[in-house]
Amino acid sequence: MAQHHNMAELERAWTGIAGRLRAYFVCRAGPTDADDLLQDCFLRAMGSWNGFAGRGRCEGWLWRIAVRTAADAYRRRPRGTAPWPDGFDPPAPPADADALAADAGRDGPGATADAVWAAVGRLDPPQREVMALRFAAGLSYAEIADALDVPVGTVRSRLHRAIATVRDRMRSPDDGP
Amino acid sequence: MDRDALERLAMDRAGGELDADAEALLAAYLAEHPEARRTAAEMESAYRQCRDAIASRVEAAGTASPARPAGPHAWSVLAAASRPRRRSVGRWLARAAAVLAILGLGAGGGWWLGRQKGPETVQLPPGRPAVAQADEAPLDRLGPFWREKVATLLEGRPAAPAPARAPRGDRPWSNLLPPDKETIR
Repeated sequence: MAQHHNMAELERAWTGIAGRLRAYFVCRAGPTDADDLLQDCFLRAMGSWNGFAGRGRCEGWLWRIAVRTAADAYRRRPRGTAPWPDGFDPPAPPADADALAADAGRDGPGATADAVWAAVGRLDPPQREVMALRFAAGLSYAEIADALDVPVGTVRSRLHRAIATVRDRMRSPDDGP
Repeated sequence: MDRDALERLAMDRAGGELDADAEALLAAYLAEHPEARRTAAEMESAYRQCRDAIASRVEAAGTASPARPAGPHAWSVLAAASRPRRRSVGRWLARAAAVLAILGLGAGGGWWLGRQKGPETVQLPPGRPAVAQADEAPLDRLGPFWREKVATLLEGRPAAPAPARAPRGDRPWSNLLPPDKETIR
């Protein structure tokens, strides 16, 4: 009976964050591999559920598994594969396109979503990880810190450096690796 | 306030991570410092650009069909599949019986083989020694020291005991060392 209750807890947690998990995997590996990573994450969670059940917050545990799943896939990627997915279909225009255009006009002529995405792809892996968890998965600082097992201050610092780096590269796109 | 701290506060405000009190203090500070206001606006703009760029890419890829078990009984089936299997007592007893059977088979086979008649022994004719005695020639080839030792053994005389060295009080292990190594500390 307790087992059934615990499985209900996993079901509730998984159903609640599955969409955001997929968005995170899309951001990390592209839409083609995202579903595979999501299935892999689910199988890992099911396989280790009996060792976790009842110990802590289920959502944070699932995010930790997701981060490990993405990191393992990143390490196993074929040689020559780009570290950041770039094979997307053209993105839909953002809802606040006018605001984005206004920002682009103020901050630099090349400030488009594609250029920002490319600039994010050239960040260091820890900074990309924080960007994906923050902007694709929509996690808070505390949730990111829990998923990455780092202090909240580290998350804040990485996010700040990442955004500042993207901003600087948008000003001078030829700089950087 | 230095630039990094201001940018982080602006980033927190753009992301909704700043509490109301801190946000009010930041707004008051920015109202009095135009340069800081410009820096904060740049940071918030960069934050929104990153957020919108990533969100639009993810949305373009589609978020439909998140993988999850389908059907009303799917989770029950998964729960049963993930439950740790308990090994029954009968299974352990069967394994123990198999081990005992193997051991018994080995012991019985050994006992049966031990009862079998061994190989035929060869009877030597009377008066012929089982082992050929060595002639004198090999002894002649030995040096005088070893010739004396062999003669002593053949005559059954006990060998002269080696002179015992009394252990020294300060180093009781010194008698284990050869005489020329005793001075080594």
